[in-house]
Amino acid sequence: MRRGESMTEIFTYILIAAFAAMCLMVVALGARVYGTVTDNAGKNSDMRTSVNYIASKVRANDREGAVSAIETGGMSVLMLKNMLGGEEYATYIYCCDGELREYLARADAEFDAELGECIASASAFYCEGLEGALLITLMQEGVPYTLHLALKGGTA
Amino acid sequence: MKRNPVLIEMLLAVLFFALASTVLVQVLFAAYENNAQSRAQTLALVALEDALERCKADGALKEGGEVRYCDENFTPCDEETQNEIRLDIAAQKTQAGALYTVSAAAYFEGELLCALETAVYRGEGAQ
Repeated sequence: MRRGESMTEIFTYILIAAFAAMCLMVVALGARVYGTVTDNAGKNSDMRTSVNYIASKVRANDREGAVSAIETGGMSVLMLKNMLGGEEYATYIYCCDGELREYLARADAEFDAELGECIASASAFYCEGLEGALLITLMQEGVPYTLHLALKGGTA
Repeated sequence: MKRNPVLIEMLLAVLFFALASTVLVQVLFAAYENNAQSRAQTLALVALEDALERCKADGALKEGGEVRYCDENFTPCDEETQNEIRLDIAAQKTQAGALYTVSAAAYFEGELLCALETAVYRGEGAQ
């Protein structure tokens, strides 16, 4: 009788341990799925934001001689020229210190990559002027995104 | 025979937990699947926009179809994969020029994920 009682007690403890293990497993699984979902949502958002931002900027400035792909300080820079209050300004879009940045300055002012404002995180940015189009490659977390943008005004 | 109330309580708790976790695992799996689908759709959309812009910039559009194989990130690759972008170009020719309708569709693991369409006009003598 006493042996039967102690067996019941052991079985109860085993059951409590199994219950705790199952709880931990479900929490761990939930945390993992939540982590993956938020990580992917972040990646999607960063990618869509940067790609759409660049495309909108280029389309807004799609005039003859306004869009150009330049190289400065070993950096690939997209330069968009526009007139503001009778003066010519340039918007530079480039990648610096793991960030996609934008810098607006007078066209005759010296370009300083450190002064740009962060748009999104990016590990690399390349742009190249093609015949009637602009080829943009953006690298985020090791994944390259390529975007061709057909230009009415061509590249300078 | 004397029953242990703690044991019965634990058995009931485990049973209830098992039922609840079955539902929870299903929900988590659905969330994971949805997320993977959403990621693939976003990548496919960027790839489709790129393909259509390429056609718009192309000065010498030709009627017909084309298949581009891609990896899981919808980056073009040389290998034959189940992820692909299918382009279909149809032309309506007139004396003044031609109106090209470009349809692009992205397939992920053999299934249609999303499709886009655009039209490009090329005047007479533009090509």
